[in-house]
Amino acid sequence: MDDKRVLAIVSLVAAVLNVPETEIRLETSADNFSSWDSLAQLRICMAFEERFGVELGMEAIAQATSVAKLAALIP
Amino acid sequence: MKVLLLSNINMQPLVQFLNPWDVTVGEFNSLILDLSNPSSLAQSPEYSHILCLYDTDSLLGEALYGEGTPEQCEFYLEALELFCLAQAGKVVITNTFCVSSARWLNFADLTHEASLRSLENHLNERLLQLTKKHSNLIVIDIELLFRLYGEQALLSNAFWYMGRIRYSNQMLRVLANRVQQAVRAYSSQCRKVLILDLDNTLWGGIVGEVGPLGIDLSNDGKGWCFRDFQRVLRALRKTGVLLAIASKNNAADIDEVFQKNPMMVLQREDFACIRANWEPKPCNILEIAATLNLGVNSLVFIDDNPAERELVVTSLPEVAVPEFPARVEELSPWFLREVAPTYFGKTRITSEDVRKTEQYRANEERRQLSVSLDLDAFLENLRIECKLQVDPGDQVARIAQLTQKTNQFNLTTRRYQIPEIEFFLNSPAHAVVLLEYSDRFGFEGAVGLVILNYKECRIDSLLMSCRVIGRHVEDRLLDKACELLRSRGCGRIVGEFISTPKNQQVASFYDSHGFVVLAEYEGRRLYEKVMNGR
Repeated sequence: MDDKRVLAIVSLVAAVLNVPETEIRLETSADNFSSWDSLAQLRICMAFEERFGVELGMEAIAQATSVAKLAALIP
Repeated sequence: MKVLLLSNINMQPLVQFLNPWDVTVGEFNSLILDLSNPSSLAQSPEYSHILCLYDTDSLLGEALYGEGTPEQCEFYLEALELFCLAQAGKVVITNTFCVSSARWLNFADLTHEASLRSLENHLNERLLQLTKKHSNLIVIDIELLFRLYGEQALLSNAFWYMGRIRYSNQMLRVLANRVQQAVRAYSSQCRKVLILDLDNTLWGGIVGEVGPLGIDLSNDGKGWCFRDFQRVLRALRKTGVLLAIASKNNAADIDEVFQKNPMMVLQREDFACIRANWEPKPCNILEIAATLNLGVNSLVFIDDNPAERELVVTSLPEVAVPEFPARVEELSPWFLREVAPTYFGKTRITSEDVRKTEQYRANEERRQLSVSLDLDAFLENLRIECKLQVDPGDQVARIAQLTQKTNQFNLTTRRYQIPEIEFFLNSPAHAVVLLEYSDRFGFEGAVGLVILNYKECRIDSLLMSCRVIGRHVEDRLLDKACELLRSRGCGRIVGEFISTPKNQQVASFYDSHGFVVLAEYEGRRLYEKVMNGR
């Protein structure tokens, strides 16, 4: 996986969850990070749209619940 | 200030856009409940501002699809009115009712008895009645945002169905901006004066080159753009904003435009203050502020010339200087959309506002009688700093030069050479005081001088460069002179005026500073002032 994409997602997720970037890794997901709840998922996806200028569909929002999956969505 | 955000949808994502406000979000869908419940957060004295930003479609419930009655809307209006009454000290901000454009009746919506358009109008009419009754209620016309940016860009279907987040990032941003502008407008934090350039700002072309009838101002094309802009400004004036002109032009050319060009929408009387000359614009802007007796931070400056804008930005950072649109056709829409709500926002217009320019013009005429008032404000804005040095040995040449070159503000016009100045500097019976002047525009250097004779308690010379005349700097020189003489035991001070063809402006200098004439002969007057105390 492209490191630049992962780093971009790491900093985006860290900013939304309000934690240091060092706490977020490629494997981080809604399943293993307690503050990544359903509202956080929406806010991460909104930040993603803002940052990359794309519109995510409902299914993408529902499924992209990890750093790796979000990175794969970067256009 | 602490803000409570209530809604019937998920408005959590709005909070970050309301920076730097301290915003708490109410419980989900707690809008009506929180307004009516006497023990809710909304009633807590902690919150000064209550934002009630609701989604109309959701509030309509089944009525959006032609089923049932819009009872939630009724409840909301009732709860809002009671809250505004009971909490008159809080500022309440809400939006208008705005049904999305997707309507089940399509073309028939305008004529059907369940018309959403009619319902929306009716609800908004009631909301506006509340606004007229309750001065603590601010209503944001949210439909204007949808018109301006388009509903498709502002609503987010995916986030809506995923988590009841109705608005896109763009909507959250523009809505937050609009709310903050309205609150600023409500608390009268808006600016008061719009200072305008003329050439290529109020009309096309340069009047000094093409003449008063040659400027581009007409009912077609480019000239129309400027004429419309003038209409916008005339309307702005009626909301209580003062208009002023700072233009690099001959004043006579401007007079001619007002007198002769029939396409001018704005007339001389529309302006509270006009400065057309060749002085730097920051100077004229300071004078306008002083004339109107307003702080520099209440000014907005519009000029098409980026160099002029830059000069004002750097020398007067408190003045707001918006960028100018790249295309002339954008002038009016840009101003109404960007400049007016940002700097001249108003939530209500009073009868005072409508008459404001007339009031200032009357004040200005009154003030002409006591010019010192304007001058004081002008001087305060200049932030003058004077450094007074006693016997500065390293400045001999400059001191001698001042005595030789200064003609107008010179009480005795005694010309001294360098050796004589050296003598004064070193003699215990004399003192030389040199004044260095600086203000916000820069350092002017040594511009004022006093030479004292301690033995005779006499001010031998008092002079000032004409560059700083009219700024009360002479008072500081005279004060220093009196202080030094008194410290040497002088109970009275002797001053002289020696008349020359060029120094008539200081003929009554000592008279106006508390000195009395002792003797007069052949164009010379001897004065005396008895010092108070010891």
